[in-house]
Amino acid sequence: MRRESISDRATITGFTAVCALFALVCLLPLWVALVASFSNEYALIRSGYQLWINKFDLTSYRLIFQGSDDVLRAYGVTILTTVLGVSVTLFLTALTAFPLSLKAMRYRGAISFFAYFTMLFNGGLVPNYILTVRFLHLKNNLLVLILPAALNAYNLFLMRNYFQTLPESLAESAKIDGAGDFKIFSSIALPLAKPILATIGLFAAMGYWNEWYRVLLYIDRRNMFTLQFLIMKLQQQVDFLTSSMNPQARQSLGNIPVPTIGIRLATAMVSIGPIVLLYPFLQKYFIGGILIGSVKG
Amino acid sequence: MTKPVRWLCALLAASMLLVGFTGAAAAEQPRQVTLEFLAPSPVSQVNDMDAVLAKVYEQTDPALNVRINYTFTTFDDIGQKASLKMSSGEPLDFVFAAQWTTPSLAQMVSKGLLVNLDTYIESGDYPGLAKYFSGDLRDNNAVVDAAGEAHLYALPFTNAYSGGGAIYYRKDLADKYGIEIKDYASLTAFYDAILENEPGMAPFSFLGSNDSINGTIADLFRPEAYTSHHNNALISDISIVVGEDGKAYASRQVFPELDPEYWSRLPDYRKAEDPLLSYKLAREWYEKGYLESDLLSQKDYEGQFMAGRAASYPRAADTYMDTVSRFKAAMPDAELGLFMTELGIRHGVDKASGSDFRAWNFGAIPTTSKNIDRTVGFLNWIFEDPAHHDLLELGIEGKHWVAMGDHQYAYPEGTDLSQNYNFYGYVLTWNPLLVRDHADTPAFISEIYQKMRDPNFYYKRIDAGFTFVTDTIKTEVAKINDLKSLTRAVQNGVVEDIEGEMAKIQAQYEAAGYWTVVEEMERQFNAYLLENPYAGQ
Repeated sequence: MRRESISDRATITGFTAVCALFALVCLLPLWVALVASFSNEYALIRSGYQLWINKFDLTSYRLIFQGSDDVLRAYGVTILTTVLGVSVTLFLTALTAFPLSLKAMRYRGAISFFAYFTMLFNGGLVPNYILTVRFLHLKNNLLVLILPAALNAYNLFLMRNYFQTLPESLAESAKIDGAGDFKIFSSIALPLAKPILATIGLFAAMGYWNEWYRVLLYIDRRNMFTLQFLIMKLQQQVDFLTSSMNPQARQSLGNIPVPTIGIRLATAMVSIGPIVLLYPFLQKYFIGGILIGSVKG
Repeated sequence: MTKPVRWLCALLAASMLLVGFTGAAAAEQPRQVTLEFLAPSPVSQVNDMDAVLAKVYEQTDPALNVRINYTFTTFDDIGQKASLKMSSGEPLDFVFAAQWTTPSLAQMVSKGLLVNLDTYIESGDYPGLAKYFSGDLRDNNAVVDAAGEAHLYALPFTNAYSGGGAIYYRKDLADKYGIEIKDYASLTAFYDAILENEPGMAPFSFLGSNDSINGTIADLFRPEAYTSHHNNALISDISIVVGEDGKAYASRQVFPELDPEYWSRLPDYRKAEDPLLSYKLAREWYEKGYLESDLLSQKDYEGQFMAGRAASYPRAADTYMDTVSRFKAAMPDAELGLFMTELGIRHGVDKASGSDFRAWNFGAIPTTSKNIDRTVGFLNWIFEDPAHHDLLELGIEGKHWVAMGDHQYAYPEGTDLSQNYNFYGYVLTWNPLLVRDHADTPAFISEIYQKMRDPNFYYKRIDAGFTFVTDTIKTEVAKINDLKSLTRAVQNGVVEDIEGEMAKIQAQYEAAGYWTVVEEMERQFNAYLLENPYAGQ
C-alpha cells in the first residue's frame, strides 16, 4: 500500500475541515432555534437571535405541555399511527407491487392503469368525506389516519420499478429449485428490496408523522388527536391570542405574555424530535432507493 | 248502524282519544334531542362546560328538553368543516359562520344552506331573539339570498359597533418629556422626543404589509374631519362616493384622489386640500423616522412595543384590558397610555363616527337540521333572560364569576383562571346590550365602551347593509386581490416618487381587469341605493 504523501494528507484534512464547517453551518439554524426556544421572548426581540440562551425562559414549553396529558397522549397516537401505518403501507405496497412487476401476471397493464388513474384524478374532498364518514364509518376512528394513506400509486410504481430491476434469472433459478411465487417474493425479492423498503418506509413515516389534516376532518375526540394537529391548534391559538379581542382568552392561560416566536420554535423542536433520528439510519438506503426506482422507470 | 260499523267507530274514537292524549303529553314534554353545535375555538375543550350545561338543563328541562353537544374546531377550517358536514348530511343544528370563513356566510346563504331566521323572529313566539336582534343590528346583518332578498340568516354576535381605533403609547415616556398626547401636534411632538432621546426605539410600529396608515394620519391631521358628512366608503378596496343626485360613483383610480370625478363629489373641506395630502403625510412620517424603515416586513409590531423597541402602536380600544395586563407583565415599571384615533369617540360627539353595524361573528341553523324549531327555541332561551345569557357566557355565578352590579363582573377570590370556565361568547352569546365588563375596567374605558355599544352614537356608513356579490367577476377579483399589497408601499410612505408609483400600480390593476370590477360594484351599489336611498347621514 502506498503511503499517503503530505500533500494528500493536507488535501484530505482540508476537505474534512470544509465538510465539517459546512455541517456546522447547516446545524447553526437548528441550534439558534433551539437556544431561542429557551429564551425570553422580549429579550429575543430586544437583542435578536444569539448563540446562547438570552434570559432563560420556559414559558413556551410550559404552554405546550400545559395539560401535559394531551401532549403525551398525542405523542402516543402519533407514534402508534406511524408504526402501524408504515407497516401496513410496506405490507400492502410490496404485496401489490411485486405481482405487477411480473411479466406473467395477467391484466397487470389494466391494474397499473387503474392505480395510475388515481394519480391524475380523484373525486375531491366532499365525495371523499362522504365515503369515509357515511359508508366506511371511520369518523372518530384511528384507522382513518392509516387506511386512506396506506396504498398510494406513487409508492406502488416506485416499488414495482425496483422489483423490475431485479434480474429475472434469479427468479428463474429459484423456480427450477421448486420455489413458488410467494417463496420467490418472500425469500428472494423482499431481502433484495431493502433500499426501496427503507425509502418508502421513510416517506410513509414522514407522512404519518406529519398528519393533521385528516384529524381535522375526521376526528373530534381530543384523546385521538395527533401531535401535529395539537401543534397546529396551538399555533392558531397563539395567532388568535395576539389578535384577540377577548381578555378571557388570555386569562384562560393565566395572563402570561404569550411568546409568539418562542412558541413556534419550541413546537418545532418538540415535533421534529424522534422523526429526525430516523434519517441517519435510513440515509444509506434512502438515496440508493430513489435512484434505482426512478431512473429505470 | 250495523254492528261491525259501530265497533269500527268505537275503535276509531278510542284511537283518536289516545292520539289526543299522547299529543297533549308531547306538548308538555317534547322528546329529548341532542343539538349538534359546531364552532371554532382556541381550546379543544372548555373548562367546566359540563357543569354549566347541567345548570342550563336544570332550567330548560322539561319545557325544551334539549342537550347540547359542542364540537370545537380551528378558526382556519371552520367553514370547510361546516360545509362538509352539511353536504354529507351529518347531523348539525347550529353552525358558526362569518364573512371571513371559507365558504363565507354569504356563499352559504346563496347556496341555500342556512335557515331564514326572519320568519321565526317575526312570528312573535321568540321574544328573546326579537328583543336582542332588532334595529340596526338586525337590518344591517341581513344577507342577500339566491332569490335576491335580504334576510337575517345568521344571528350576529358582537359586543360593539366598532373596535374603537386607538394608538397605545408609552405614557411614562410622554410624562418624562412633559407631553400630554391629545391631538396631532402633541402626538408628533412625542415622536420627536422619542427620536431625540430614545435611541433604538421606533416611535410607531405597525403591520405595514397589511395595514395602511395614511388615512389615519390624515384624519388626525385634519381636526374638522369628523364634523363633515361621510358620503364615501371603501368597499372591497374600491372607493365609492355618493353624489348630491343620490347616485353612487366608483372611482376608476385605485388611489381615488387622482380621479377628478370622484374628487368633485367629496365634501368641501376635502376638495380644498391637496389630493395627495395623506400620502405626503405618510411620507413625511417615514422620512422623519416616526415609522420603521422596514415596516413592510414587520411581523410582530405588538412584540416590538412590549419589548420596549417601539414607543407606540395601533390597536383597537376594545382590547384595552387585555393589552394592559400583558403590558404590566412585560414592563412592570412602565405606564400604558391610550390615544383614540377615532375622532368621534375621542371628542365624545354623537354621529361623528361611522359604523356599518356589522358583526364579525355569526351563528346559523343549517337547512339540513332536523331540529330547527328546537334549536331556535334554545337560542331564544339564551336571550330571554340576561341571567340565562350570563350563565352561558360567564359560567355559574358564585363559582366562575360574581356580579358587580348589572354591567360588571369579577372573579371570586382565589380563582385559578387557567382552570376557570372559558367559553368564548362570540360563538353564541355576544350582544351589545348584554355585555358585562370586568370590574377592574377603568372608568374612562367604560365610558368609551358605552359609546361603542350604543347604535345611536354612530352614523350609518353608506356601505352598511350592502353586500358585494362577485360571482360573475371572480377571476378579476382574484387577480386584483393578488395586487393589493402593492398599494401599501405608497400608503405607508415607503416610496419617494408617490405619483410615479401610483401610475405604475394603476396600470397593473387595469391590466388585471380593475375597471370591470369597479363598474360591477357601481352597478350593484346603485341598485342597492334604489332600495335604501342615501339619507345624507
